[in-house]
Amino acid sequence: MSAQTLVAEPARRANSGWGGPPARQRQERIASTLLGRDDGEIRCPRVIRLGFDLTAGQDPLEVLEALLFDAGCDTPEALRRVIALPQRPYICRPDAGTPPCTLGSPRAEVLRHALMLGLCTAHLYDPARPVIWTRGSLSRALELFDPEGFYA
Amino acid sequence: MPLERLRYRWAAMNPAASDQSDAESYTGSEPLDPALADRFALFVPAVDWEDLDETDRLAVASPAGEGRVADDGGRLRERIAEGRRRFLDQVERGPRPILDYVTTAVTALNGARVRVSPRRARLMARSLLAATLVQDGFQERAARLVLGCSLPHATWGAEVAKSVVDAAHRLAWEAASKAEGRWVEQLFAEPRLERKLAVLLDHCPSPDAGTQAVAQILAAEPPARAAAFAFALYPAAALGRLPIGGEGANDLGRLATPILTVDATVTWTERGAVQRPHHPAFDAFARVLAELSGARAERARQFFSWCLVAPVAVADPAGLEQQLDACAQLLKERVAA
Repeated sequence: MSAQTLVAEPARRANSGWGGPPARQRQERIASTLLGRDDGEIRCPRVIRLGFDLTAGQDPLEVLEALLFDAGCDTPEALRRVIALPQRPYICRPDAGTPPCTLGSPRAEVLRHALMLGLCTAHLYDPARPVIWTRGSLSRALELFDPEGFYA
Repeated sequence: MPLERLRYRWAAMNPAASDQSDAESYTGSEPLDPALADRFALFVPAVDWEDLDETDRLAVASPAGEGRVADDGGRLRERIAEGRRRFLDQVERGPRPILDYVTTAVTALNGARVRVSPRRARLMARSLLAATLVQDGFQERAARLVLGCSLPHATWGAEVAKSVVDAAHRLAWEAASKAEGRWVEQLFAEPRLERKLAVLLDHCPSPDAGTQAVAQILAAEPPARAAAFAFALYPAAALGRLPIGGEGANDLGRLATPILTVDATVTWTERGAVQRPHHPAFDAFARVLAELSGARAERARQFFSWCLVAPVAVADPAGLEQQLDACAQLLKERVAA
C-alpha cells in the first residue's frame, strides 16, 4: 500500500460508514398574494402606484421643496388645499417595478406623488395622518391596495 | 321525589382513586360521575394531621371527644338562618364584581383546559355571594377559597394544578376589582382569537386603549397565533374600522403585510431514498386546505404559505384556521361595508 493510498482512504471510510445516501438540500419557491389579484373571491385591487424614478445623485427632498415654493405653499401640509387626494386609507406594499413618476414630470403630478408618499407609513396610506417628507419617504416606491374585499 | 324540607345537602367521600394513585390510596372509593358531582356547589377537602396545629391535634386526640356533638348554644344555626335570609334577599341582583369574577375565572379555567360547566359558573356565583354576605364584603382570600372549592375534579380523581387556579383567580380578581379595566382582563382570559376580537369590538373604550391592547396581544401570543390575529384584523384596521389608533394599525400591519404577499424560496433537508414534492410542513396545511373553499380557502392558503416561508410552526393548523376564519366572519358582519 503506497503512502498516497493511506492518505486517501480515511475520507472514503468517513463517507461510506453510515449507510444510505447522503442528506440532500431541497428547495421550493412559494409565491402567493391576496393583493391586486383579479381572480378568486377576495378582491383587493391596486388603486395606484407611487414613487419617483430617481437618477443617481438626485435628491427628491431638495427638488420637492423647490416645487412646493413654486406652488405657493409654505409646507407640504398646505398642498392638501390644491391637490385632490383619495380620502380613505389603503394598504401599502413596496413596488419592485420601475417607479411611475420622475421629478421632471408635470409639477401637479410630482406634487401629488410626493403628497401621497408623505401620507404613507411602511404599511398604510392614511390621509388623516400628517404629511411627512424625508429623503427616505420620498425615495420609496409603493403600491396601494383597497382592502375592502378582504372579508368576502 | 319532592323533599319539601330539604335546605342543605352534603356528602362525604374518600379521595377517588386515579390511575396515578399510590399504594396508600383508598381503593374502595369510586370516582364520582361528573354530572352528579356538578350538582354540588362546594368541595371541601378535609384537613389531615399535618394540616392541624398543636392545639387542634390535642383537641382531636382527646379521648373525651369520642361521640361528642359540638354545642355552641345554637349560634351557628342562627347565623346560617340569618345568612340565608340575606342571601335570598340579594340573590336576584347579584353584585357585578362577583359576576365579573366568576365569568373571568371560568373563562380562564376553560381556556386552560380545566372544564367548568355553565351550571358550575352559576353555583360558583351563588357560593361567592354567600361568602360575601357572611364576611360582610367581597374579599380576595374568600374568593380564592371559594374558587378552589368550587372545582369538582377531585371527586373523579382528576387533579387541577394549583398554578392554574391561582392564575385564573388573579385574572378574575383584577376583573372584579377594576371595572374600567375589566375588558382587558377578558381579552386575555379568552383563549380563542375571535373571542378576543369580540371583546375588543364590544368593550374597548378608546383608540389608545385599543392600541395598547393590540400591542400586548401581539407580544403575548405565540408567533403563529399573533400572525393569524394580525392577518385577520389588519384590513379592517387599515380601513379605520377597529377601535384602535394609528399605532395599533401599524403594529398589525408590521405583522400582516408580509403575509398578504409571499414570494420566497423554502429549503429543507431530506435523508433516505424518499423525495418529497413539497416542504415537510406542507402536508398538514394541505389537509386543512382540502376541506375549504372560496374566500376562506384563499385566506387560509395565503396564511399557510407565509407560515412555510417565515418559517413559523403551527401546532394545530385546523384549529388556528378555524379561529382565523371566525375572526374574518365577525369582521365581515360587524365592520365590513
